[in-house]
Parts: sequence; structure tokens; C-alpha cells
Amino acid sequence: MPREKPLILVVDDEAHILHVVSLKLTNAGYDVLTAEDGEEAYEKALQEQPDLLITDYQMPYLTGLELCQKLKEHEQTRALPALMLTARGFSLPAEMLEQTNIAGVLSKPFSPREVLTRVQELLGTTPATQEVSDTL
Amino acid sequence: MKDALAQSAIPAVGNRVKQRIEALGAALVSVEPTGAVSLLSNPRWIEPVLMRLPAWPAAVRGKLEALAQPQGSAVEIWPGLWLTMLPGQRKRRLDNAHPCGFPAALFLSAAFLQSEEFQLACSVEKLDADAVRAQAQNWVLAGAAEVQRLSAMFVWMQQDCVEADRRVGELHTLSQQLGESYEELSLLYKLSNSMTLDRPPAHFLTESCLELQQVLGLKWMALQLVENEPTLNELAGQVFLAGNLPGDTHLLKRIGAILMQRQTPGQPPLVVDDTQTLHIPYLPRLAGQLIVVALVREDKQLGILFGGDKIEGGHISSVDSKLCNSLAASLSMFLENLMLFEDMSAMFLGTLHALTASIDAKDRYTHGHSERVAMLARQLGTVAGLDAHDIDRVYLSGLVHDIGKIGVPEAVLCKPGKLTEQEYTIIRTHPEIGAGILQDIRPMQDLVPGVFYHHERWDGLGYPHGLQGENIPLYGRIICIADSFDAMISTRTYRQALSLERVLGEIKRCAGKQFDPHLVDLFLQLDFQPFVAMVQQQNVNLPLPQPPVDPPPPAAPASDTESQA
Repeated sequence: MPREKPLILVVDDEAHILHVVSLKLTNAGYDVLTAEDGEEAYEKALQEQPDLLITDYQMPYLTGLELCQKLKEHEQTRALPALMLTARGFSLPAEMLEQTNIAGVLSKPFSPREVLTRVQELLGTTPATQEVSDTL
Repeated sequence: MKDALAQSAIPAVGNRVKQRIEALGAALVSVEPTGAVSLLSNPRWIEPVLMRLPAWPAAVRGKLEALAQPQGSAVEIWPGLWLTMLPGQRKRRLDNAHPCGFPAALFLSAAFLQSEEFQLACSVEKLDADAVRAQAQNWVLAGAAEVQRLSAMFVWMQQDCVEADRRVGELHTLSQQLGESYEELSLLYKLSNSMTLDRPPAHFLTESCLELQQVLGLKWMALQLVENEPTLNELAGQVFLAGNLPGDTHLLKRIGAILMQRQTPGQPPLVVDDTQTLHIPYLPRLAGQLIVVALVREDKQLGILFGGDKIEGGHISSVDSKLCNSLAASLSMFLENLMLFEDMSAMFLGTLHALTASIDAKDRYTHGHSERVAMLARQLGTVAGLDAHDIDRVYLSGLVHDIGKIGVPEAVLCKPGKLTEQEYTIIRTHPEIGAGILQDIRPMQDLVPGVFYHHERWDGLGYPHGLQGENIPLYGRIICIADSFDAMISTRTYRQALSLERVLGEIKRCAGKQFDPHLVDLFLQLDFQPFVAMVQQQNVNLPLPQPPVDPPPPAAPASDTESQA
């Protein structure tokens, strides 16, 4: 069943990064799913079949790169594109990028605006929707 | 009406609370100050029956005071029918004529099923009272004590949810602020990294405008620099623009000049919501909202940073203004560095020129020699493929190559005629003296090789060390050719200037002997016409050289000529 809005899986072991990225993306009209480590992200990716993955590089259990490699190997998530967040000055070897679907690398401290721009390049823009909170 | 009420009231009580209230057998209702009660829960069969009880408003009105008690205990409206007001803010509706209600939980106890009101409602709805009683047993509470316990639980639950919602709201706000801080940090980080003096400053200034325009989401952002600031060089009076300006840049520049006068140094950023109020002609064509920040160096205005109108509507916020201010401070610092750098290089070059000119002035036949050698060395360096930095250094090396002559007595330097062996020895010390002078001046240390080795020869017969071939540093080899060329093409105390053909022939002849043959090939490709014209201009005012007491050998080879130069 096609989704109304593109679903983005955001993975980072730092909660504040998740909050900032989720907020920026939901305000821009995307659906966001979060995970706090690579393994949780892997399971959620298989289960929910997101349209895009945004992952941190440095995480416990499974690094962002390992996560991307595993997802590329799995039939269901073979084509899932990814954006990676890394520490400033860190660069990924080109052959590593070739083994994965990493479409872009953003270094921290990243600009949320830039993350959104990259997402829009990959997924196309969605009309921003008024956020409806279920809790209030 | 009821639906509208329900919609407006629901946000005051979370869906979570509503679901829990329903699961525990109660219903969520909205109570208005008039006493009117409307149902917010999904109606089960019994609730519409209840809502039809005729005396609702009057009965509730009579109990309003008890209902509003802060301790939140349940109030019995009719026998066995209870209401508990839930804490939480009442949502205001847009038109005050229809205030919306307070949320409340409605529940029933066993006494209700025995009451006259129940009998009446069942008969109005044409329902069998016994059947209704039998079904209601599952969720009707036993008595007042049970009602109060559940009521207290609802109130706590609602309080917790209100608190949780408040925290979610706070988290939302904090995330928003954190996102803005990330944006700011990332911008400042990016710009401070690109704030280097080895790129054209205009690139950095344009990039800064573009970044800021995008981060702030403004339609356009401009940086205008003051006109009358010589140390800004070609940047003075320039405008750097990012985004889409709804007008031409001439207009922008004129308006920028007016804003620059108004925005005096030290003022906080000026944020204007309606540019009409500034009374600057045509400004409202460019922007409705405006932000202006001055760029300042020690109380002196360097320029202004200004931008207009949010792309997605909304106001220019205090966060925007803060960010503009930080960036303006960074830009001011950048410009200040640029100006200091300009001051320093002007002073450095000025000092070098003054120094070398004073050496050349010891002998009017060598007037302008250092300058010309420097120019030739730069041209040769360029065709030899040196990078911009090396070309600059080889030029400076050429400028100071003879600085050691300051230690050579004028009697020797300006002697018309052949030098004695002893005088040669004295004159041959000038590269060493020059290197000695320069090596203690840190910014000139890399000029030392050019100065020290400019009299070395490719065949190893030069001085001071007799180095050979490529062992002679490149700057030395370049200056050697430039120096010999200028010496031969100029009139000297001991002979007339030689013709260009003669000089070039001599240079060619000495390739591989005195000069680096590869550099000679490159040198011969240069255009000497402007240079020769310059030398001739120089030579016009010189008296013919004195006939030497002991004439030098005619058509002296370059090497001999040079040992005296």
C-alpha cells in the first residue's frame, strides 16, 4: 500500500540529534521513525520499509556503515538510500561508499536545513503539514 | 453545534485520557457554564439515553460550585449519576458568544438504575428498563465510595497527562531551539573555516551572504562596503548580494549608502517590520521587512550587512538578529585582518623598495637596477611555471639581490675602469653580506638563497661557493640571468649600454656555462621591448661613461661584465 507521506528512519544514539532531525523533517511533511542503535534500526528498516535512512556513523553494536552494508545485503532493503552523519573531518573511503547506498555524508555539527535539503533532493518535496499532536 | 463543541473541547483532554475513561466504563463530556452538557465520548447505547434527560442544565447549574472545587471529587447530579471535572485548560473558542465547556468524566452507580429518571428515560426511548439494567451491570459502579476512588484516579491521570504534554511541548521547543543553535554553529563553523587569506576575499564575502540568506530564509541578503577606505583596495564600495532582489543593484547600493549613514557603529541590529516607517524612497520596493547590521572596526564603519523579507512569510526574529550579529562580527574581523594584512604588505614592500633604491642610488648608473631585475625575475619565474607564491618570492629576491652592496665601499662600487684583484675580492663579498642581512628577518628568510647564490655559475666557476648545475637554488639561477641581462642592457660607469641583439646573443652564448640552459631557453622567449624602452628612458639622463684609465677588454663576455655588476 503506497504511503501518503515518505517515511524516514533516523538513527542516532544521541537523543537530541534524533529530536532535532525529527522535528525538522516532520515539520516539512515527512513521517519519521527513530532508532537509537544500529540493530534496532536494522529491525525497524526491515519491518517498516522506510523510504530513506539517516544514520549516525559512530554507534554502539552496529556502526552506521555496517548498518548500511547489512541493509544493502538484504533483499527487502537493497535499494534503501541513506544519508550519513559523521564527525567533522572524518571521511569514508570511496570503496566503502560503493558497497552501500550512501547518497551523501554530512558532518556534525550539521545544519538541519542542509539535512532537509538533501532529503528533498532524494525524496522530492512534500507539502508541509500542520503538525497534529495526539497527546493534547 | 454539539460536534463543533466536541471538536473544540477535545484538545483540552488528551485522546489518551479519553480512551482510558471509556475503558473504565465512564464517558467524557463537556460541561458549559450554562449547565449544558454534551457528549465527547463515542456514544454507547446508554449515553444518548442519558443525554436526553430533560433537566440536565438546571441540575448541573445547581451543582456548578461543587463541581468546580479544586480537590476534584465526584458530584452526584441525580441519584447514581456522577460528574468529575478534569483539570486542564479550557480551550477558548474563536467567538466568545459560544464559550466551550470544561472537560468532565461522567459515570453511573447502581442507584441510577433504580431511579425515576432512569425509568423515565427508558420509556421516552422505548427501551426495556430491565434489559438495560442487565447490560449495564458490567460497568456500573457499586456505590459512592467506588465512584470517589475512580474519580480521584481520573483526576490524577489527567494531571499526569497534562504534565506529560507540557513536557512534550517543552521538548518540542527545546528541539526547535537546539536546531536553531545547530544551524548557527554550523554556519559559523563553515565560515570560520573558509576565512583564509589565501582565497580571494570576494569569494568569502559572497559565500557568507549566501549562507546567511539561506539560513535565515530571507529573499535576499547583501553586504555593502564603505567607499572611502583605501586599505580595502578594490573591495571598497562593493556590494555582494545573495538571493533574488526585486529590483536592481544600483537602487540597492543607493539605499545601502543611506542605511549605512543611519546604522551607526555600536548600534544593535536594526529589525524593521514595515520599511515604510523608515521613509527611505523606493526601499519598500526591495523589502517590506528589513534587517540591518553594521560592520565595525574600532568604531569605524566598514560596511553593512542587510537583508529583506522572509521567503516563507513570518517575522524576522530575535534569533535571526542574533545570528546576523555574530556573522557581522566575524565579517568585521575578517575585513580587519584583510586591512591589517594590506597595511603590513604595503609597509613590507615599501620598506624593501626604499632599501634597494637607496643601494641603487649609491651609483647613478645602477639606478632602478634592482627593480628591473625583480621584474625580469618575475617574468622568467612565470614562464618557468612557478606558482603564485614562488613568483612573488622570486620577485622580492630580485628586489633585494644586491642589498649586500651596502657593505661595499662606494669607491669600489662606482669605480670607472678596471678593478684590482683586491677590489674584486671586496665586491664578491656582497652576496654573503646580503644573505647575512636578510637571514635574521623572518619574513625574508626564504629570499636568502636568491641573494646568496645569484653569482653562482652553471659550470661551477661562480662565487661564493662554486656550486654547479641544479645544486644552485632555482631563485639564484633565475636572478643570475635577470641580473646579467639588466647589467648589459644598461649603461655602466665603465661602458655604454649594449644592444638587445648583442645582449641576447651573449646570454645564449653563455647558456650551459654561466647560465642554466633550460632557463635561458625560456628567457629568450620573453618580450623585451617594454623593458628596453624603460632602460633607455633611464639611460637618457646619464652622462657617457668616463673613458677608463685602463680600458676594459672590448665586448667583454657576460661573465666578466657581471663580476663587476
